Amino acid sequence: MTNTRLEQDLRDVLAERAWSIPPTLDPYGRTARAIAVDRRRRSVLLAAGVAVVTVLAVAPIAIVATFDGSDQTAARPSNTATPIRLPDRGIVDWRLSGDLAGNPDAVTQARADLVLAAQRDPAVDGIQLLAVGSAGDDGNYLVGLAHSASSDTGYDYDRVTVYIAGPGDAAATATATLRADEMANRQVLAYPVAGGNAGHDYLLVAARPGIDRVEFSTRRQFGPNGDPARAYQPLELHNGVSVTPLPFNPSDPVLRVRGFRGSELGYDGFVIMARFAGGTQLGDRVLDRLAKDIGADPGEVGAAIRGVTTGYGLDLSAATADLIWSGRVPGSAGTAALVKLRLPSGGEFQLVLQFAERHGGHVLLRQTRFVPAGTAVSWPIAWISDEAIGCRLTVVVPPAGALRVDASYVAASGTIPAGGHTAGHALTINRCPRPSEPSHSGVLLVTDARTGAELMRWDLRLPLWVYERTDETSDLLGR
Amino acid sequence: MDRADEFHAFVAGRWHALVRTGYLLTGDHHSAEDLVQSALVRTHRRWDRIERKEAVEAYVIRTMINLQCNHWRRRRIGERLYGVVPEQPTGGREGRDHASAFHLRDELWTALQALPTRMRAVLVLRYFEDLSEAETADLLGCAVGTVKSQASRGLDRLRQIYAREGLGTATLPTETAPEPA
Repeated sequence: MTNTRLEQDLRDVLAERAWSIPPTLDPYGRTARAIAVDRRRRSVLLAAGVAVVTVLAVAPIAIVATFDGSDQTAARPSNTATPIRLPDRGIVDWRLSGDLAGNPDAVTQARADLVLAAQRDPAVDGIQLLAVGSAGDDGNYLVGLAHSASSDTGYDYDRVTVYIAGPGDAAATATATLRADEMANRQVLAYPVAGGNAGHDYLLVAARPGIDRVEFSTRRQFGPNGDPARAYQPLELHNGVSVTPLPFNPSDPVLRVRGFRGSELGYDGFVIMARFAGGTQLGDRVLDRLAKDIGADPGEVGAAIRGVTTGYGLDLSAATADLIWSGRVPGSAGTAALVKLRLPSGGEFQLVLQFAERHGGHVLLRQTRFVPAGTAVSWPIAWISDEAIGCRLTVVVPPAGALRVDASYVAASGTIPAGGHTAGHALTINRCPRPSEPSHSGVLLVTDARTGAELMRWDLRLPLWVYERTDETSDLLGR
Repeated sequence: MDRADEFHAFVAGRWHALVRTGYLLTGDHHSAEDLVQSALVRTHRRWDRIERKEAVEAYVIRTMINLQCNHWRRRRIGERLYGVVPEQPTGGREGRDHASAFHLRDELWTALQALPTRMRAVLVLRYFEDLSEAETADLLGCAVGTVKSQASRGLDRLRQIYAREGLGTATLPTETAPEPA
């Protein structure tokens, strides 16, 4: 086989990516459950097939037996008025809103489209019409949900399939499959929709009744002190649905969508786009020195930082970078580093870079996190990693900070303590339950073990908890 | 070893390898697990009729590819609740350092995801599973010529990245490179 550079790179990429995925818990168990579900479904289909054959065999006899000249074949009343299955599993509790709420024609047509779509997927169990909205001159969009219980599909989690039909589409199309627990009590659904008559990309937003204002942001900017700030634009809702053309090249691939009920924030979420902004990398010398300080490969450090520059359109060409701390993270194969970047404009912010390696120097995991601007180098810094079971919180108190700290994660489900750790090392709290909706929260609390003084309080609210910190008092802590 | 034990042993032994292949086909960890699970359910139905148990893995992979080609399994970009900072870099040439190599690999991965499912499957089988053209054709149930053309077209598309980056894709001076005439 020839070994061109492309082929070699392709082999490396495939191997690198394939080995980067975490192990599955109990693979045989989930397969066995799926097989059991498959057997049940097939036996039901078999029974249905037998019933059909029986009917076909008996029907001619019945027709002959009842043939007395009277009209027994008069059409029955249409059964198309079957009510839409309303939410009954606590997954969603949405209804058609606005002037469509009492419009039976719109409901019937929309339901027919969604049922047609659902029939293509034998796993779905009923379908729920979520919203029908106008897309201006383009026509109507409709959004529907189908729920599949894990006991029906054999998958490890209940699923909700989102169907969307737009102008010109013959029927609704399954757009995404979400975990049902992520859908519980959701106030707003937001999806990028490709195409449309004009060939643009659209942001489709469906809001729960009661959400009267929705806005979105396509741009994140950094102020003089490095504070991220966003400008929001209002979206016009028609019957709970908004369809808005997206900018051709947003500077930020993470669109943010917020929904309000009156003045109350009811939803705050992200939509990840496929396109990315540009940016400029750190200078070679700065990058090389930083990599040397961290003790990591310059290419890997560069790739991690490039994730920031490209994602947010940052110009780091004249920025400086200083290492605050680096070290190993308990329970992880790799290392992490805290880096402070200073922009030429005077703004500065901190990054967490986390590396892990497998044999041969391949990258297993790379994470880049923003840390609040103005955080002193002696303050604890925390970040969060998604794990198979819960999440892992990592806290570092730089050597310039307290000598010994206690940390705990407080959530509605209980408190997970991790105490007695020395400054300059990372401590981790594993299996932290992840809040499932914005109104839930957890609190990471870090205190000086000697004096008991509170060093850090991090309110973790979905979906803000990754890189935005608040210092608000928390009800969970009773203060 | 009875039928159930055989199947159990196969799943226990090959699950992770199959998920790795599934991940390269789907680009998504959870989808990969679902894909493998579905393929194993189908395989289980035919387990008694599969005489060459050494060929089971190829059968499962073929089933995975067929399932992945199913239109309804294609996932589009959707909402993600978890606000992870996007880390896939893009665009621009930024010098000669190692970072460029990582950047290039990320672009390759992205481009690979954009290939049609069957074309991607050919590249995965050839360059990850290390199957020959004949073995790939046998597994996919197509002609060797089809494998050659699909691989060639797939590589051509990936090669465009190198052209954009101003990089050559000439044969590397490695131990497997052909000797100069």
